[in-house]
Amino acid sequence: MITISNLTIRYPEVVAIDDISLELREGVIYGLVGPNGAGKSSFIKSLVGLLVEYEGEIYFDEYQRSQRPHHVKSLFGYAPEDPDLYPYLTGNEYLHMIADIRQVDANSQIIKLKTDFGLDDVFDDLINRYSHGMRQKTSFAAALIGEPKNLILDEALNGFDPISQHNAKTILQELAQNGHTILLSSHILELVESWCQEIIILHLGKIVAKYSQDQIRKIKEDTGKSFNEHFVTLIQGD
Amino acid sequence: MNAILKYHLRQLLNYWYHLRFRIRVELIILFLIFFTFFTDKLTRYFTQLLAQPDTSPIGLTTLLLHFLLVIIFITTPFIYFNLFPKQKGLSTLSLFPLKKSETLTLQLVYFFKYHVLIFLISLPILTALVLSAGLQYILYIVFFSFSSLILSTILVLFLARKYHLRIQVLFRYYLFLILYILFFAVMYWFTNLYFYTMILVILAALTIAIKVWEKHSEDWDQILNRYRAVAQKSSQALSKLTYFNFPRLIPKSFSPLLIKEFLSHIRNKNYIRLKIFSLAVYLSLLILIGTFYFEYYTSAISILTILLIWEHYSHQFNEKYVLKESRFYIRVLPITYIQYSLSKFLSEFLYIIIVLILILILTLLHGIELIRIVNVLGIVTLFSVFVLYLITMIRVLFYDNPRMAGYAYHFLIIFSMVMIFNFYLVGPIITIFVILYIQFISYRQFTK
Repeated sequence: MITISNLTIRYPEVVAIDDISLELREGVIYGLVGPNGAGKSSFIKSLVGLLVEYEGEIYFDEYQRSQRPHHVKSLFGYAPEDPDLYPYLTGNEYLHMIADIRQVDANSQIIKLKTDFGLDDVFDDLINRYSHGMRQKTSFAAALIGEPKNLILDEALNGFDPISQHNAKTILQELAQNGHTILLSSHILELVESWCQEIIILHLGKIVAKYSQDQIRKIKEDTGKSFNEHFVTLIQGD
Repeated sequence: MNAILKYHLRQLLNYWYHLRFRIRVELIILFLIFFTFFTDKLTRYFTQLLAQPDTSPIGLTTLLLHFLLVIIFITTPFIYFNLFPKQKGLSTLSLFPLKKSETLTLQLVYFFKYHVLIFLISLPILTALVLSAGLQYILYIVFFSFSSLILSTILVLFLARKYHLRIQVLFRYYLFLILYILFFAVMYWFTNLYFYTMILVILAALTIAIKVWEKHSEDWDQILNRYRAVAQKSSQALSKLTYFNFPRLIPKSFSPLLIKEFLSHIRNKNYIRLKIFSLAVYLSLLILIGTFYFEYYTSAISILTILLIWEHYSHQFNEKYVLKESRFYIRVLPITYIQYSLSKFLSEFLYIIIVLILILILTLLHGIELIRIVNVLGIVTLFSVFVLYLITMIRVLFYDNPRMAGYAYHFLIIFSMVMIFNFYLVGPIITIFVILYIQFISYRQFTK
C-alpha cells in the first residue's frame, strides 16, 4: 500500500504537484493519466526517490519514505520511461544483478520473464546492442524481480510489441490478485482503461478526477462518449 | 556575426549561466586563489632567475613559449580525434552543407574552446612573466601561440582530408612536429636572431597553410562525417569472464556491485587500452629514469607515480572510460553507501597493486636498500588510497555530472597539496576537515 499525504512539489517557477493526498490500496492496478506537464513524472519521481525536494509525506506500507529511505527501496519495483541500464552487462547478467542486490533467488522468474518478453535471442548479448524496446522490456522485467509488494511503472510499456504487452498485462493482473499495489502511468488512455481498476486523472498538478471501472462505464452510458472523449472534455473544460 | 560563431559563443555562455550562482561564485573564487598563489610564487621565481647573469628575459620567454607550443602541438590531434567528434553541435551542423569559411570557423571555435583551459592554466605563468620581465615578451608568446594553434589545426585537418587512417595522419603530423622542433632548436643557438627569424617563418607558414586551406577545402563535409562516424563507434568487446563465473570471494549482498564494476571496466575497450597505455608509458619512464638518473631514483619514482596516479584517475570523469552512474541505481535500488563506495574503490585498486608490484620489481633490480623501497611503496600506497578515496566520494557526490566531478577532483588534489606543503601544521588539519565535510555531504546526498 502507498499512502501520499499533502504532497507538494515546487520548481523555481511552477508548482508541479499541488497538495495531493491519495491512498493506493493493495490488490488494485491504478492508472495515472494526464496531459503533458500535468505533473505525472514529478509525482512518480517523488514516490521512487528520484526527487527528494518535496513537501508532504509518502508512506510505503507503514514506512515513511523520508524517514526510512533504504528500507523503503526494498518495498517497491520501478520501471522508468527511459531506462538507464548498464551497457556492458548482458540482459541476463543485469537481471541477476538486480536479484542479487534485492537478495532474492529469482532464477526461475528470470527464465519466465525472458520468454514472456521475447528476450530469448538477445538475453546473452550486451545491453549496448539492445533496441529501445528491448531495453524497455529488460527494465520492466527488472522491476518485477522478487515480486515487490508495490510496483510503479512510468510509461514503462512504450516500445512493447503486442505479445509482450499481452504478457505484461497478465503478469500485472496476477500480481494484483495476489495483493500487490500497482501504479501505471501512461499516455495511452485505451491501455489504462482496459488494464486498470482505478484511473487517476492529473492536470496542472492536481487530481481532477478519480474513476473506478464502474464509474467509467456509467459515464460512457450517460454521455454516450468514449473515455478518451470524456478525458479531452475534462481537460479542455479547465 | 557569423551564425556558427554566434551559436557556439551562445553555447558557452549558456553553460556558464546554467551553473548555479553558488557554483559560479565558487569557480571565480577558486580561480582567483590559484591565480594569485601561482602568480606570486612564479613571479618570485622568475625574478630570482632573471637576477642571475646567465639568464636573459628573452631566454626565459623562449623556454616558456616552447612549453606552451609543445602542449598545443601535442593536444591538437587529441582534440580533433577524441574530443571534437563528441560535440553534439558538430553532428547537427554536419547535416547541412557548409561553406568553406563556415567550416573553418566551426573547426577553430571547437579548437579554441578546448584551449581556453590551457590559456587559463598558463595565465599565472604569463602574468608572472609580464611582472618580472616586461610586457613586450607576453606579446611574443601570444602571437606565437595563436599562430601555432592555427597552424597545427590546419595541418591536422589537411592530413585528415588526405589520409583516411588515423595512424597515417598522426605519423605525418608528428614527423612534421619533430622537423619543426629541430629547426627551432638549431635557431635557438642564435638567440638574438631567434624571435625575428621565427616571426618571419611563422608568418610564411601561416600564409602557406591558409592558401592550402583555400585550395583544398571543398570536401570538408566528408571529414566532418568521418569524425561523426568515429564518435558513434561503440565497443564490441565481450569478455569471457561473465557475471556467473566471476569468483565470489565476498559476501553475496556486496558481490553484485563489485562484479558489475569489474565487468563494466574489462568490457570497455577504451578503459583497458588506457590502463595498458598508461602502464607502458609509466614503465618506460621508470626504466629511463633508472638508467640515466640513478642518484635520486626513489624520489623520482615517488613523484612520477604520484603524477601518474593523479593524471590516470582524472579519466574516471570521462564517460569514454567510466560510465556515468545511473540515478536509478543509486536512488531506487536498496544499496548502502558503504557497499557502493567499496565497490568503486576495490574495482580500481587492482591497478594500484600492479603499479606497486612494478615499483617493487624495479627497485629490487636496482639493488636499492629495503628501507627506501618500503618508503616509496608507503608513500605511493598512501597517495593512491587518498586519490581513490577522493574519487569514490566525488563520484557519489556528482554521480550524474562527470564534468563537475572532474573539476572537484582536481580542485581537491591541488588544494590538499598546496595546503600540506605550504601551511605545515594548519594545512593538513584544514584539508582533513574539508575532506570530512565533503565525505559528509557525499553521504547525505546518497542517503537522502
